[in-house]
Amino acid sequence: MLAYILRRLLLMIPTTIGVSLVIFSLYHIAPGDPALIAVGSQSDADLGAASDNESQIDKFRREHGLDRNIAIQFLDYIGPINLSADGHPWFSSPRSERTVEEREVPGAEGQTIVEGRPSPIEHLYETEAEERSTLDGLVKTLVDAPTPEAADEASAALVAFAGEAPGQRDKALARIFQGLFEQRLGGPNQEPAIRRVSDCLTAVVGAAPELSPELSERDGARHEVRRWFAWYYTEGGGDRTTNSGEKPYGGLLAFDLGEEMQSGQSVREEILKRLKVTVPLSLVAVILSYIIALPLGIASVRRQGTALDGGLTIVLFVLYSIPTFWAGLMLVLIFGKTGTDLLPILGLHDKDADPANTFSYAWDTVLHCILPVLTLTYGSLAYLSRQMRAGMLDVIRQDYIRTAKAKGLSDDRVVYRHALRNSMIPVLTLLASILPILIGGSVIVEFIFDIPGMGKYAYEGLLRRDFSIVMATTIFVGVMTQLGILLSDIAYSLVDPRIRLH
Amino acid sequence: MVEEVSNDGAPKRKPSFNDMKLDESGFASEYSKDYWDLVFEQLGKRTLFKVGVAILTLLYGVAIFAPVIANDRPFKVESVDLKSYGSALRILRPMATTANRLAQQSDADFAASLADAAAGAPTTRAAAARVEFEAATLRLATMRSMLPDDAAEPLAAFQEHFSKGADLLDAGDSEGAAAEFGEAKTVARALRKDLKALDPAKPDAGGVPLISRTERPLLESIAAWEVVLMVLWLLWASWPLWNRLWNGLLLGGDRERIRKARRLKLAACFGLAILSSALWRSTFGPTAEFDFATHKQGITDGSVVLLAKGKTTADLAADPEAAQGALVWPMVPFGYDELHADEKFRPPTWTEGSARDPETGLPLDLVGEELAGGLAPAEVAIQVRVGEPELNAASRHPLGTDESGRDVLSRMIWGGRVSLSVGILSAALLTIIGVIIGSIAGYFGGWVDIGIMRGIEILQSIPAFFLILLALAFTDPETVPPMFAIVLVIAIVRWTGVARLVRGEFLRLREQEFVVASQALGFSSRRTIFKHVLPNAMSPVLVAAAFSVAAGILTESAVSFLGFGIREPDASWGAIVNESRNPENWWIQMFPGVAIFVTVTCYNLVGDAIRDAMDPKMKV
Repeated sequence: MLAYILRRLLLMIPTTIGVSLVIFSLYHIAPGDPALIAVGSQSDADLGAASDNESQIDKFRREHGLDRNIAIQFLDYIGPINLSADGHPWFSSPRSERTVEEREVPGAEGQTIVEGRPSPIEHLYETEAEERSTLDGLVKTLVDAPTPEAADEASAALVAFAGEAPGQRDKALARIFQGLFEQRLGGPNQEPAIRRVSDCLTAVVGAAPELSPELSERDGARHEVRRWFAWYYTEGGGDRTTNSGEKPYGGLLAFDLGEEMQSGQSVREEILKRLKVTVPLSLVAVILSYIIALPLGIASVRRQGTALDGGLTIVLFVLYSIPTFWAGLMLVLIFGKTGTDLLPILGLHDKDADPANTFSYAWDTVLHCILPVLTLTYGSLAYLSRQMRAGMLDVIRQDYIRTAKAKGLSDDRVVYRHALRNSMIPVLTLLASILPILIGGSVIVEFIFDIPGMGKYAYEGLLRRDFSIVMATTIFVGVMTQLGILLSDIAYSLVDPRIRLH
Repeated sequence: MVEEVSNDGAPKRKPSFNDMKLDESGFASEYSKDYWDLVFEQLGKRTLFKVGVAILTLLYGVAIFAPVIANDRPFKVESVDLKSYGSALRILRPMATTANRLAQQSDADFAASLADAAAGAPTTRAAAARVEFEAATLRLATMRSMLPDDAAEPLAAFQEHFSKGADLLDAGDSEGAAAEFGEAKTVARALRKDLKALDPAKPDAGGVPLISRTERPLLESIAAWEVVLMVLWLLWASWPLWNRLWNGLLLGGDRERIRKARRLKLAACFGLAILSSALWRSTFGPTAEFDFATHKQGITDGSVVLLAKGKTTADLAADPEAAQGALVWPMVPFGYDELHADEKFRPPTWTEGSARDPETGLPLDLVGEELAGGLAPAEVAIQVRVGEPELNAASRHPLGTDESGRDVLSRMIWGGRVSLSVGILSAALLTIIGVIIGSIAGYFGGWVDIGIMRGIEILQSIPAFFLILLALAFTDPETVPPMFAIVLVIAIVRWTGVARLVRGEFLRLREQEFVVASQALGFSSRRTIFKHVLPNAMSPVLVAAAFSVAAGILTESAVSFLGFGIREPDASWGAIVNESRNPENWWIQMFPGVAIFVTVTCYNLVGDAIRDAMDPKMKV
């Protein structure tokens, strides 16, 4: 048994990868450019000039790695080893290599030297938030130079920062070159700033690039900037941009679900937070629907052909045909402010509910949950009890039941000891299909009742066309479904001793 | 299959070869109940099934005939459009002037003016002048259709000059062309004075009396495919009647002949439908691509005047009563996308508190009262357009209006088209996909089977609704129309159930003698699958298809409710609910839901009945 469960759990890994492949291909195959749709849905309000939009889309693509090879994107998402981290030529992509423009110009004494075209440099990925603000402040002081002393101090501090450890030097360089990039035009009034930055760089690097006197004459400080960038692109390590791909490991197999596209928040943390809401709701709904459906099914079979049976069948049939969202809306109409005003309809708590007062807080939560749970329950309830009735009918026609009755056993004993266990089999297998229905339904229910759970999160992700959220929620739901199938298989073998799991 | 089923009570008798030869007709009448006869017989016994089918037929009828039931175009309108006549008359001279300027311009100047012209603009002076000429010809046609023949004569001179000018410019004679266009200008100036229309409101000002034009805007807007569906629906609805007549009178009640006539009947129905749509098209022509229903607004604000056939505006000025033209509206005179911004969120007009003050647009109960909040709502006078029920009549908006003041009843009638067809189309598509993939897996087995089943397992471990939402969210509504996207996505996601069913049936049938025999006879796999195995595996598939129509309708409504499906101004039942989630606008949420619920219930009833009839073993 244990080995079986273990094997099934292991088998879930390839299935989950398959699931993510399905979502991933949907994301890319679906007509319409993902970046275009995402940017469009973000900036509906101010559709600026077309070129502005274009650059936004381009930026979005670069930020989220959508400009890379699709296969690489997928492998990176799965992990656990980040293929583009080591810059292997097979996996190199536009994102991990900066497109740099260099050109050869005549230098002093007939040599040729190289000029590089300045391009924006971002913070290195590993730079901590604290370090970023320190570096930002220092470079700003260095460039703006409120007083000459402050600039000198900033320069010294930068050199000190770079000297701390080998990695620190790269971080400092990236920020300093960004400062240099802002001065790339090299006008006469920018010359002092460029001089200060150049001096600082010389101090950090330990050498200054050779300048061509001719071009210095012609272009002024701009030439110096270009020479520094040429150095940065070749020896300084600046030819590769910083990105999440620089992390040596990550991705799905390392339980890393990525960050939200807009806010940069960790998706995993958000999902864990939301689960605390959705799991209790769904569990209560599943348990409730089983608790109610089984007796209903049994009662309807025991009184087969009576008015009770007929009535129940019709009611369940009707319930089964009601759309979930409509049932929710009608419950809101009936119990909400515009109807009888009996129950709260939005959210999980009242605005002024006080978490300190445990009892009333809990009561408030329970009140808020009644309608959502009702909406989640009724559909599976109807389905389950219909199946229960069918299963029971099937069983009580069998010979061994007739035998039991012939032995003179009481009706109760026949039904509960002999028939019930066997008639449970089809209902138990339904667990596997009820879980996903519930989770799918929770999108609608949480949307209607404004509950901050998984379903709402998935909805928000879809609304924002946020790949990370959508992928993460779907994979999570997929795993839940597979667990449901496994669970129902195990339950199956417990109820029916003829079935051995191996 | 025939041999195994005997008539009720009759002893089961295997017919021998000799029996058939000797007594063919006797055999036929006694033994000819085939599988489908039995299925139909079973279905006929179930009242709930009949009720379900009847309601569904009604719903589909409403959806198919939606343009005839709810529309803001009249069936028939006899009118004269004073406004478009006036604007056509006024624009003749500016057109001639433009052409004249083109003729006098040098090629270089024209090329320079092209720089900031829109893409697709004519690139030579002659072509530009030709465009002007064609536009003028259209205006002239409009005017001719409204002018009595003798009054229209002066238009010929204008057209002649203009056309000659365009020809000369084509030939390269700029000066001659300029002269002709100049002539046209002069003529147009005279025309403007001579052909001024007689306004029936101001008969003393004089002018040319215009004649009436009869239009059928509603019928012209009906496309050929709609006619096909309408005829098919009529045939379906009247099926019990003509089928009985056909069977009784033409076929003499002979079961064998009735069975043979099944295909003929089907072909006759489709033939009739296609024939009538061809007839329709030849009568009313193709539907316009950009067709705006302007009649209602035009007649309401007076730019279009109703005028009986054969009368002129002079008659109308003399005797307004007698010369009044005909105007026939459909039952619900509101278009599904007709805006009525002044009647925003109006509750059903038969409910209390729905009455509105025509001047301010406020609820009548509130008029004159001080509002508690002190915030006075915006006052907008309500315009009642021609053909609409009175402002406070109970039948004005029986199901209320939505955020833009569109009539919910009309939107529901039109929305049914989308909802119902999404159900049918997606069920058909997913069944086809499922049957094909399932047969491949079941027939070939081995690695093919394992691969397909693994794929199905992966797909099934994502909740279908989730996957559908996701696919729709990532599909650009500009590239694929949402309705087709929904159909496609539902089919692509939901085929797995059918595929598993078919595969199971195939595995069961594969070992049976008749399949082994067909393989032994050397039939190709295709023939074995399609001729021998598939027909025997179809019954559970058909049952599943009936239920998946209901599932498709539910899915579409849920998806549209969440805002990822049908988008405004198009309507579907779910999309209407999406327009307001505020419990105060209860009518928007309630009525479409009732429609979905009724449809889904009926489909479930029908599905249950088909399942019981086709395979009593599956009975729940």
